[in-house]
Amino acid sequence: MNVSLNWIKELVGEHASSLPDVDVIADTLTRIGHEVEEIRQTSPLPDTVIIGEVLETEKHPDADRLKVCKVRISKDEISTIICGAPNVAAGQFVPVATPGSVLPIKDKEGKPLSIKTSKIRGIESNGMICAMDELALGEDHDGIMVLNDEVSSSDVGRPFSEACSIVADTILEVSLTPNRPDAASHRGVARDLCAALGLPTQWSFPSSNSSLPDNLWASNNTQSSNKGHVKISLPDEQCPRYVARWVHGVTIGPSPLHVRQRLESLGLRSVNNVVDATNWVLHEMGHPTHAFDAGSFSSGTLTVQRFDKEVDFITLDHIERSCPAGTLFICDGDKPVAIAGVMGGLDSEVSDETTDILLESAFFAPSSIRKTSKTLGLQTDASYRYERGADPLACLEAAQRVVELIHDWAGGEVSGEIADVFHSDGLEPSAIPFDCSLTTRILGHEIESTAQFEALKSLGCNVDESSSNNSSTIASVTPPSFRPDLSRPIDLVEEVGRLWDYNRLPEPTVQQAFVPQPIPARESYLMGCASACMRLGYREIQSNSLIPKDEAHQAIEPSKVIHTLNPVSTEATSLRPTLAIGGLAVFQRNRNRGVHAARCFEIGHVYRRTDGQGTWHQGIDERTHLWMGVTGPIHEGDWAISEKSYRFDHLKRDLLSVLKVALGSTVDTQNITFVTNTSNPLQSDIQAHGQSIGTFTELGRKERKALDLDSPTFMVEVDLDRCFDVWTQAEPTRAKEVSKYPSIDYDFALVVASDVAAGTLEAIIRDTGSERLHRIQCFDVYEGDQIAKNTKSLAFRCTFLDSTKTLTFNEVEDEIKLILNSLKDKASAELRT
Amino acid sequence: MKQKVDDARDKIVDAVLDSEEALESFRLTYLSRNGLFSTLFEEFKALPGPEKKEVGKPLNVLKVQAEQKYAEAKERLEDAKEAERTATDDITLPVEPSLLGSMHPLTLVRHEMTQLFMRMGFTVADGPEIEDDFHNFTALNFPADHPARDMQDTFFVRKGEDEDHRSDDLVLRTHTSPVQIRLMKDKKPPIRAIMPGRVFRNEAVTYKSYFQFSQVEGLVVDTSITMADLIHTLVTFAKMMYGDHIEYRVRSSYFPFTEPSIEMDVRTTSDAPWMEILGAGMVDPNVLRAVDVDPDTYSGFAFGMGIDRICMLKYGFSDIRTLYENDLRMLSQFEHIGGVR
Repeated sequence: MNVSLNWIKELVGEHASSLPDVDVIADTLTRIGHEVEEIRQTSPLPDTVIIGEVLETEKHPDADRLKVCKVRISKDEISTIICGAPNVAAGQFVPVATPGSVLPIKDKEGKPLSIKTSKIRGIESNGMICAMDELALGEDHDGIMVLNDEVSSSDVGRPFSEACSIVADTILEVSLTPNRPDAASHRGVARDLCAALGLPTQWSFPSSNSSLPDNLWASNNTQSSNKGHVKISLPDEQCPRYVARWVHGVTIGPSPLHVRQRLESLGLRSVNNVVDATNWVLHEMGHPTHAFDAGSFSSGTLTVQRFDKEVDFITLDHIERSCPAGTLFICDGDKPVAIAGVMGGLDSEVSDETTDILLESAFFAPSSIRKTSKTLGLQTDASYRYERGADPLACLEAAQRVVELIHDWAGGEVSGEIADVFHSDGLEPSAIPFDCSLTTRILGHEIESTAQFEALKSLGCNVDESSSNNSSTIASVTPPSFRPDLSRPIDLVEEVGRLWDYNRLPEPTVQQAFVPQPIPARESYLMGCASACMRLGYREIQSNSLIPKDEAHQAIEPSKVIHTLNPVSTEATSLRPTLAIGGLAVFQRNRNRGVHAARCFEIGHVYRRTDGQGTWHQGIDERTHLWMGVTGPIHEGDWAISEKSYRFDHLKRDLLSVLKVALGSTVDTQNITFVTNTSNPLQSDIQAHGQSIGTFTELGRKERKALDLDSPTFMVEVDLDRCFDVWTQAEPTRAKEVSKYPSIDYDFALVVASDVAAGTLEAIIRDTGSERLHRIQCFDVYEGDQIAKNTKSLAFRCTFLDSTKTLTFNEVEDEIKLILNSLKDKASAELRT
Repeated sequence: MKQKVDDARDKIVDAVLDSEEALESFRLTYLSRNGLFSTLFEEFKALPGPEKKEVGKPLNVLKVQAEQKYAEAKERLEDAKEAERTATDDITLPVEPSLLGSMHPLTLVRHEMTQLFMRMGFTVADGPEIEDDFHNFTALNFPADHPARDMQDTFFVRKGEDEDHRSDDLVLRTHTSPVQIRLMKDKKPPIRAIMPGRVFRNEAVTYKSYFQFSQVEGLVVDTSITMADLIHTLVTFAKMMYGDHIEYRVRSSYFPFTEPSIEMDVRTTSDAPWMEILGAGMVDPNVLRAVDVDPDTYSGFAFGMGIDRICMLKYGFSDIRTLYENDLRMLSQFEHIGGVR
């Protein structure tokens, strides 16, 4: 919200001179919860912009659209000024920027516009007659400003800003918190500021020049009344209060210049003198009001009601809106004229022809306005305040203030009659029993109770200390009606604290004793897995949890994919069911930026629907996965490295190393097996002790093409939640004695049918070998002319080790015989000779 | 015989051993199994006693001399060979450094923050990213239909695809505060924990906002926990994170789950602009009641800060999207950091 410093000063009134400079004001507001995000000065107008009187105009001889004007710019000085505005005419008082003026707008080169004497089509022009936008007073550029309502001939030659009360202002951009609807107004900001600075406060308004007649005719208990001009029917609990006043015979026109200037400087659009009056009061005291063209009403009954069907309604921004059943409307009889608390209708809008005004000042239930505003996607200055909680007790005062301003700015006659229908039940603030020791308990520092009570009083609370029994720290505190956020003792502690200033809290003299709790194993486990990947030269990536729908559907059974109901874009509609999608997208993006080599990992959550119990919520499986992927040349363009691109075994090696960390000591590498998917030979299930823990995938040609990847690409995705369960069963690491005796290697080559998996052979060797069989390696693989067709040769090295003695070759040979027999029996493996 | 030894001596002395070939020829001629010395020693065995006496010593001396000459020449030639470098022995040949791996900058910062809080006695708690309304909002004192919910633009997720489930939709957590609720439901005070993790906001993607980011939140609940404790904890953290010399300020703010609520700004020099680093406050009594903790006995504080923002400040990222783009050239710059310390 934009806050005018001038306005704040006017509201502070006689104590304004005690206000500190703007930086301190901004710091104070920020400290007490109204964060000032920006301070800017409105552009001051130079005194060389003066009041001039247009004496005569004639067409420029060489330009159809230009006029040569004789302008009196002081008592006895007349200038010739060329003007292109269509509305310039003799007899006008106008702002004239005399030569040498630097205006607060930019020229074509982006510099402040400087006015010089210059020849325009052969005739010398001594300055410029200004339009509103040229003085940064508004957006209007339709014609020059005509000031006949503001100044008279005695003002000619005076500085324009002085003659028209245009004063430079400082605008504070304040970030509002949703709990403080009262602060969405200058009065609210001024009130908090004064309380924080310890300035006395008084809240009468400065401009009231007349005491208008009051004739209150609807009492609190009256549901409807037909006195006056319309009957108000208020059957709805969502509108506990409705105040109406009438002004007859107004003349709609522009607002006074200083009003327009102030509204413009706050970023508001000046509409006309009546609408501006409602906006003025909204920003002055925070209460929304609405002015209807009373002449557009025909039924004689104003009702506030809801319809049980959808209503199409054209709001005053010329948009037809479909309002769902249940939307609260203000109606002329049964014809909606405004969406209650949100926006008025086009048909009852105040227009240039309007003469009679019906002014509404109401209070609506916050949740009702919020619901309407949300469904229509329409937030207005009024709805913003109503949905956060307007002041139900301010309706009369606001109505009074608006009709006063209408009377001042648009003339007319204010009807003495006031309709006020008010169901006050539950709207009057209730007293809060408050013990000042709560403040000490929460803040950790004792603030004297008198100081606490003073702080609360300065914010408008009524503090009744008589209720306490001989205790000076207990009082009954009734918050003001404009503070819906104050209902509990803790809320009062915050008020005391923020005014007292948390920065003054002394450091605790006694540190809170605490017993550090053990760090959950999972935290260090996940970090250990990440470190393992990093130790192997993998780069961590963090990809999006939200991915495109079609990619999620390609990855898993579509019914298992979880979508957001309100996606931020088509690129981020669905929750990732695997990390692979994000990882491969990273490969593609880097490839398209010329980075071909990639070796990455990611640890993150993946999400799927499940028919089962789910991990945290019924039907939702949310798990932590590890993804590792490699693509491109291993070392781009290195002269010494012969392997140019990755093979599956590179990633398999790395995976086995990472799994040592991820599975812990209970699972030896030998117990990790790879089971190829029967329907897709490029994909294998990774199993630890036979339990599936992940998937190993080589990207097929077509998949790679779709991702622009021209090198072999491999990836694994491992369920770390499953691995963690295994890991937690591991014994703590103990240093085991290592054998002091040398080991014996025994090499042999086998010939087997091509379709026999190496893993099968390895398993047979392992199962047959004794405890002394320490390691099995495959050191050569051969297919080709030297052996029979449809066979392959695998050369194994078995390493035997005994922790108690040096093995002899004969002992090992016996074991090898058993192994070879077993291989022959189970896999028809022959020794290659 | 003597003459033969003398002749051999002359030849051995004169032999020029300046190449592999000359060296090998010398070895074959004199020192090999069929070389001259073998022959001479055979002949020597057959000599009569007196002559043996005369020839024996010079022959032995000559053999040692020849062996020495051979060994010296061999050493000299090998030295020369070693000094002579081939094209692939050139140390100036460029190579790529070995693959070093790296942690993502967000992980580095998260880990650094976690470590600092662990030093201050905090443990770490974890929870799901898909949450229900109770944990993400209701228990945290966000009333239904309250404007406070607008503070966090929320992604909604259908709990089940069938009509029956549509009434109780889930959300992508908008903060890690639901972990606080889970923690307090599971465990009675004292509680002293942080909750790092990924969170989601339905916001347009710009240089300063992204639909996902990471947070570290903290929660302390015990008897007599105060605002003074909170501020002291935060200042201690900020000084460890940003340096001992920083200035800080605390200002009043609003969060539904804390009362009173504050935010903290820091700056490195007194003419630098304030940077907002965190939101915090005393746990609202309604939150404590929602998890069956008696607010008359216990009090607590909570705080939360964005990891992405701190990461951007620390490493000089100007656009949050860069963090999720994963350009490997960008990520490789973090190799220099020894991973996690």
